[in-house]
Amino acid sequence: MKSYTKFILRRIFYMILTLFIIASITFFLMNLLPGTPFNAEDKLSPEQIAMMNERYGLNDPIIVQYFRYIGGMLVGDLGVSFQFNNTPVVDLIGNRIGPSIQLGLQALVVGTVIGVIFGVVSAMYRNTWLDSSLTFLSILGQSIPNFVFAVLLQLVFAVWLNWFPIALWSDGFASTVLPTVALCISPLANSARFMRTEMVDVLNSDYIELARAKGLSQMAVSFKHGLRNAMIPILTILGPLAVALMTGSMVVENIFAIPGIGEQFVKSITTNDYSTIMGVTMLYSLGLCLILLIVDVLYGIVDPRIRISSEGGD
Amino acid sequence: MKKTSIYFVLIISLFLTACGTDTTEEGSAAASHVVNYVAPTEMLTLDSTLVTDMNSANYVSHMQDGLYWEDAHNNIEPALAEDLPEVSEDGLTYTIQLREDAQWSDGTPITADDQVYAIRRLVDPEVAAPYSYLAENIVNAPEVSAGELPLEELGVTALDDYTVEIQLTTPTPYLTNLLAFPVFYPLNQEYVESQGDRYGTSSETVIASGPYTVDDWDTTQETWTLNKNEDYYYASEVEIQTVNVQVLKEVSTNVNLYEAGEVDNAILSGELAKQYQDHPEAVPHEKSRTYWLRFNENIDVLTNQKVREAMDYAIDNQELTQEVIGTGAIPISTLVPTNFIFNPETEEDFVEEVAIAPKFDTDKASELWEEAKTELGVEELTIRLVTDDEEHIKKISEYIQGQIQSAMPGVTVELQNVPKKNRLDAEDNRNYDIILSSWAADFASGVNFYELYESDSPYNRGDYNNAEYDALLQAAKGEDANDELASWEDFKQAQQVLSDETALVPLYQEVEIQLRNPNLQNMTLRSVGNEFDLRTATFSEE
Repeated sequence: MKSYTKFILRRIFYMILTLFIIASITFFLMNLLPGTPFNAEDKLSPEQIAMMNERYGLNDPIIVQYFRYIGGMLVGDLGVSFQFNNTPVVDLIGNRIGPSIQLGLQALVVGTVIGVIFGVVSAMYRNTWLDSSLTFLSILGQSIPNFVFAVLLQLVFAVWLNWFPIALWSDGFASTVLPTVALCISPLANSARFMRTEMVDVLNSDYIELARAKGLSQMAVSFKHGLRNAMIPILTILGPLAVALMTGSMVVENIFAIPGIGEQFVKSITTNDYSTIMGVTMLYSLGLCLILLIVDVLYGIVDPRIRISSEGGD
Repeated sequence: MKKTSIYFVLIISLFLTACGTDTTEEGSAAASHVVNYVAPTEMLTLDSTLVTDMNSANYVSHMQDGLYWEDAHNNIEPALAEDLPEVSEDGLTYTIQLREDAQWSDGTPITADDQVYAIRRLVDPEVAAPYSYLAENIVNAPEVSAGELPLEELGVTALDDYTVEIQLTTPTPYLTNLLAFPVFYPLNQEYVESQGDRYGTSSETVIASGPYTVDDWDTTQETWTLNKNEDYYYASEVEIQTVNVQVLKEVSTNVNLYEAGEVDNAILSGELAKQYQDHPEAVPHEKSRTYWLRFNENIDVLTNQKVREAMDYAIDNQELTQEVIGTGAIPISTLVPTNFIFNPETEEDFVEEVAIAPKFDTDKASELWEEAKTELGVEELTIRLVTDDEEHIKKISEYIQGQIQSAMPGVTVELQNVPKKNRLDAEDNRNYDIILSSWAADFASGVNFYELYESDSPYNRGDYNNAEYDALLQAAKGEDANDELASWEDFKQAQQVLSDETALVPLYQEVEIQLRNPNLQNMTLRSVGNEFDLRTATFSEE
């Protein structure tokens, strides 16, 4: 167990290193963007821009700005937003991250749980009408962009049927249902297709044959013996799925008027809002690193062989 | 076995934590006179000195008052000022009497010092306000702005508690329009300084001098509330008590909420604007923004007038606005928009009075191009057209490309649709042949548009240079500035010069279409400055 702790500590060290490298690369790339971070740019004369650059310390050499930024980041100061006048980036992110995390987690959990069930069922009844229709649904879910789906959901379940609010973040859980459904389609479809392939493989393997030969029921074979082994690849795609949710939530957030962070990811770049670009990038990177770490830990829980091998055999 | 259940418990507990978070209850106190108004974007600031975007300016102007106020036709009416200013013979000194019954929402009186402080703050290099150039005609403003003179040297003084004197270096007949623009609104020095950098970043860090207070807001919110300011000197005339503002960025969501009666307006764009423009509740709102093609005068072939003219004749603004844009945009033949400035005597619209005939005739375009080919000694030409990359702008650029290429055989128009800031960058660095440029007025005066083509203006981003034109602008801003009719004539001639030379190809004026609850009436809609005003609005319950 000691070496397992060491393994995690080593992962955390690499995570910090990765974040530092991402911060540095983003910082220098960002300075290659054309334009200024100031609003109403077309109204500013070159003298005016020079004056404002001076005021906000943008005339200093890049390397000075870089160390100033990294120094601030180490003590939790992410600077102030240009676009939202003088608002600290920490507040900007902090006040808006809640709805995004809630929707992201709900969509990820609902999507993968249903996706896994779909996948298992497809594999169990492979090459039947049930399998074909579930596969068809998965492919459909993967090819329709989530914003199209969001608009459809809004029209049918809010405007026509009146079951849920049309938009706005004001009715508690009811407000989260349609956006969650819209967002969970892609993880659902992905994990269903993945799960089916894995499950078909596993169900054909020798030890499953053995389990069947011992007279275990179909359910017990599939869920107890099959699922656990087919689960590992699903954990692998959780990371990318979570990232896709983070970066893909912008349009869905706009459609349902959710005060989330999704839009800042894109808007900070189009407006050259340097400190916000950095803040949001670091946040997303941190999120991805954490998810990858959690996935690694989960590997060990789902499949003891992985844990044993990382401990160097027994 | 047991490990499996741990896994599921983990997932389920994640789900439950996710579901268990906040619920904010809807304030369902459906008192009368509550308006649910939609804003297109977040409010970026409530700091009147730093405001640059229209959306923030709109709400600053509900929270704060200026010395003057503009009606729907850009006419000036006194607000915090007692009356129109007393102007010296030479037009260089303005003396303005403030009303004595106005106060800030914290109870302190609004005085002349507040106006002096606001203008000093606007030009303060420490503050670096983007709109500081609007004050450039005030004595010593450029020097103060550059940090060469102290703030106290600025030509704005409080003669007594309620009298302000503004001294100018050049006659500025639109000074009262400027004073009606948020960046000039009086500010309480003591309060602003007590808030430091946080001033204007939330409703807790501002005080009101206008008809409404802004509540429940900070820069990260997508909702806020306007509550009637009972201390406002004109409160008895303000009918709407409460305005709940909601940011909606998706037009279709906005329309759905409007149709469900949850909001009182819907801001339309794109396809939905086309679809709803004949809706009985659709209200057009003319903006003072015009779009035109700017030529880069450093490109040799474009200095040939026939090439420029041929392009002008190739494009049909009528077809462009009706078929391509299709949302009520107005085809124009001038640099300035319609419903913007009016003849001081006859009140005729400038655009109607100059009456520049729309140039569209593809045969003429081909003819001019044939002549240009011989003059230039070329058979073929490749022209790079740079535009923004928004969907409707792309369509416009494709239309222009098609029209030019078919009327001018041998010309290839290469399109470069880039993000707005790249377009501005290209424009600043003259890295284009032709560019789709636009400008929205800051104040209602011909100066604001015609300055764009003055040879030494920083906004002359195509290096247009015409001595006659420069002389007309000099006259309009100098010796004719105090004579409204004379400067009016100067602007008319300036427009004539631009048209005769085809210095640019005017295309269209922007119009926004909104669906608006027919019970909400008497809002003041303007084409320039603050776009709308709810202080005059009424709400009839049926």
